[in-house]
Amino acid sequence: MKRVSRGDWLLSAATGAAVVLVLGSLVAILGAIVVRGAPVLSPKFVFGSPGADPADGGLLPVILGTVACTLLMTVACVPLGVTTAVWLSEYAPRTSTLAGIVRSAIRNLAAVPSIVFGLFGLGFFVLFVGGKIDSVFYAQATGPVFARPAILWSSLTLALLTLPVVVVTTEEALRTIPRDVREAAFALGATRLQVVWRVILPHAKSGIWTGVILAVSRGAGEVAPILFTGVVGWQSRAPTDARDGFMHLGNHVYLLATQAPDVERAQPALYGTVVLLLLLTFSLNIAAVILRHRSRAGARA
Amino acid sequence: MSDPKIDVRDLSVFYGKKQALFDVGLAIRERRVMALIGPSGCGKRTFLRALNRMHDLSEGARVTGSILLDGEDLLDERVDPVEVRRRIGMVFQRPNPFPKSIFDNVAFGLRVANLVTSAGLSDRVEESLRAAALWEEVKDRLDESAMSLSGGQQQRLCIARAVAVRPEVLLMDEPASALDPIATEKIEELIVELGKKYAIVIVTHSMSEAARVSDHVGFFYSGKLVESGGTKQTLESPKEKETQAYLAGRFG
Amino acid sequence: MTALARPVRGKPRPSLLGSTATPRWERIVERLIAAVAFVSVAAVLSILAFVAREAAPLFWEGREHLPDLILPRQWAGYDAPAHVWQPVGFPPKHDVVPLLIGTLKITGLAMLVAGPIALLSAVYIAELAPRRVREVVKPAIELFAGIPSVVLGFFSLVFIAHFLERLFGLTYRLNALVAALGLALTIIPVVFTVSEDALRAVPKSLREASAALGARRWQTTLLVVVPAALPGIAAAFVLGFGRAIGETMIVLMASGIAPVVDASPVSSARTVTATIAAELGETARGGEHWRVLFALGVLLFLITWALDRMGASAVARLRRRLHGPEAES
Repeated sequence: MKRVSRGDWLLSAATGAAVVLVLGSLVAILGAIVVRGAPVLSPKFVFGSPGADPADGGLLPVILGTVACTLLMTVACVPLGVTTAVWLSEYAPRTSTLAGIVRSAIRNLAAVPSIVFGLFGLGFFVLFVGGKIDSVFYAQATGPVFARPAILWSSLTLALLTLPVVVVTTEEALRTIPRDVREAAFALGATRLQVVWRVILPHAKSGIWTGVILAVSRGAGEVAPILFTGVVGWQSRAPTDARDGFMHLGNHVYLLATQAPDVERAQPALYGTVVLLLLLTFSLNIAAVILRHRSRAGARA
Repeated sequence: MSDPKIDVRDLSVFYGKKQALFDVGLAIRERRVMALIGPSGCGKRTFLRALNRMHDLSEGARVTGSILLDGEDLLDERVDPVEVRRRIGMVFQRPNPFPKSIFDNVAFGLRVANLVTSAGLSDRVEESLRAAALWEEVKDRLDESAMSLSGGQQQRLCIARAVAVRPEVLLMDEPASALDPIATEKIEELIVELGKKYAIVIVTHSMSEAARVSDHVGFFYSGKLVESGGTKQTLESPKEKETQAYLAGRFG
Repeated sequence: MTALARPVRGKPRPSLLGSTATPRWERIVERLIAAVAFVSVAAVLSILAFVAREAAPLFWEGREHLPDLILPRQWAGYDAPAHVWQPVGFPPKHDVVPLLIGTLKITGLAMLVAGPIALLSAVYIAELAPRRVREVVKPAIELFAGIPSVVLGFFSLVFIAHFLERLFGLTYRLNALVAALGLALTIIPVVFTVSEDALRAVPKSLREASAALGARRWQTTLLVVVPAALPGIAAAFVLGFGRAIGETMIVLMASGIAPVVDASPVSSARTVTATIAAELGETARGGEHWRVLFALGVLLFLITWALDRMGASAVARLRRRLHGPEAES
């Protein structure tokens, strides 16, 4: 038998225990929530029409609101993010000051607290942009048309919040493309844009998808940025217009957990909503991890 | 002739299913320099790293056969590889000083083994740096980071670090290959000097280096030891045709 | 040159000089791509500008109230000068000190819990775990970052609060400690990921040198690898701290949200982020309360920005340390 020195044993025990603790709490969180939440998820609870009391379920408009907001966000942030990454990796000289500025802006953007995005969304999109639109196009309207919280503004706020996720993941994918792939295309007389469009982007497809999934997962789980920019409490319908307020699973969890008049009665609905939110965000995360793992393994092979 | 310092018998090394070294037998003598030569990928480095059980550090590597150090098999599973490495020091291809002070680098091996009291520490550090011909250059800046030294100085520091624990054998893995000619010359002088005190095994890709520093050579080719013997006669009149071809520069 | 320009098979070839294989529209598209890349720069600048814009009038309207934002004051009904955050009181009291203390208390506690756990886990994964274990456990820990903070807030509110209540029999069910434990769950993946990267960035040659000198594994880890990675580990802690300060939903749901000024870890506490989230919805635009909340937003932006810069420069320092001064990029 091999002897293990006491120092080695102590180090393994201490660090191993920490890992077990971390993984244990992950399992505990997911387990506790899923065990209590999954039984609540009846078709009626999930897809039923909402009644007067949110504790009774009927989450369809909440789900639709979340999906609509997340989709709008994706439409806004993915083209922006991918284009930025393409510029950084294919156009900007590696050591240029401009690229440095963009990179540090991306970094800063990722570090801004989500609640500050909320303040910004309110101050910029709702009050400034919305106010300008109203004063130009809706000067005769009695109340604010665009200058009020709306799903449009929430989505745009979230789009900026998730922009760094898309940029960083896409750039990473672009960087793994071997140099000779680009050179081969250039040597055949392709222009730079043709190389990007026909060679680089198709090559980086799975990496870009990873970024999109991660951004969706991140954006769908954020509550703080939408608190003042568009989310509403309990209403019975889903948004039909970009200027409507909307309900959101994350905000719904917050409301049920802290503002429900009858806490006991709201419990099942709360667990059910949390499971739905986790299904949307966490499962996407797992998908992204698997996708990334595969594309890396593919790049190595 | 006395018993060899290290007697290697039937040594084979596997990486996963791939065998990298085939049944090598070789004797390494006290106070002599043995140079291992051969084309890249021939197994000379694999052989060297088996001698101080570095393969224990990589997953999936397996070593069979026996390596007798003064008659004791250091591959025996009751042997602690850490003890082996305290007796058989190693210098690597690229200088790899720790990002610590010059002093702490040299003292590292002594400290981890609790070999000397802190009072004796600075004496041993000085002794080792002198042995590595570095003392005069660094004696006034022992507290500076080792990363501030030049490449050649860093490599001599690594040699000082290795000899500080007073090993019985010193392994060197192409110690001069990353250095400029002047630094290389200094390292080679040092090897010759140290060869008077230790058994040294050095891997090199340079025939002229082997000729300059070694007493014996072992020629490896595709995982096998093809030929070994005194440096002069092996390099001048090799017996095997692979050795002849290699020395004639027909493959490299 | 002349040979290329010479007519081939009767058909004249155009000169290479001034040739235009790349069409004009493509050059315009390239400009657009560059312009889009700068949206992020514009975004960062406008975040600061538009949050500050709502806060700025504090400095010219009712300037006499400015000292009350940070200095204790003798309020009616109080025995001694005190720091009070009571925006709906009469008169409204907007002293932000209790919020800053609450933030430091909760994030500090969270760091105390999360830092060591995350670092130890990183050491295990980077140094000790067999490859197969690492390939499974590392993404699993990083998945933690994929749980929405509102879910972690809910978990803290229900489970952690219940657990601590049973364990200690506390006066306040929701308190700084509950929020800190919830917050720790969001910091762990940050500190873990960054310090694991730093540990793995330590070249294998240093580990081999250490082993060849007869160091045991724990000696190599604690005396060589961890010290070499130290700037990166520091960066991990700084970045984790930045994340903790900016986190909103967990502290909003689990801290008990009363702006109490004391040192007890189990009294209720309120952070800057939670205050903004809880109060802005019911605040009239342009009032002093509104402006103070946006000013707190500016403060958060600046603090997290500074912490992020510190983290980034520590990582750069790590790179220089491990690979010499020339490996800058």
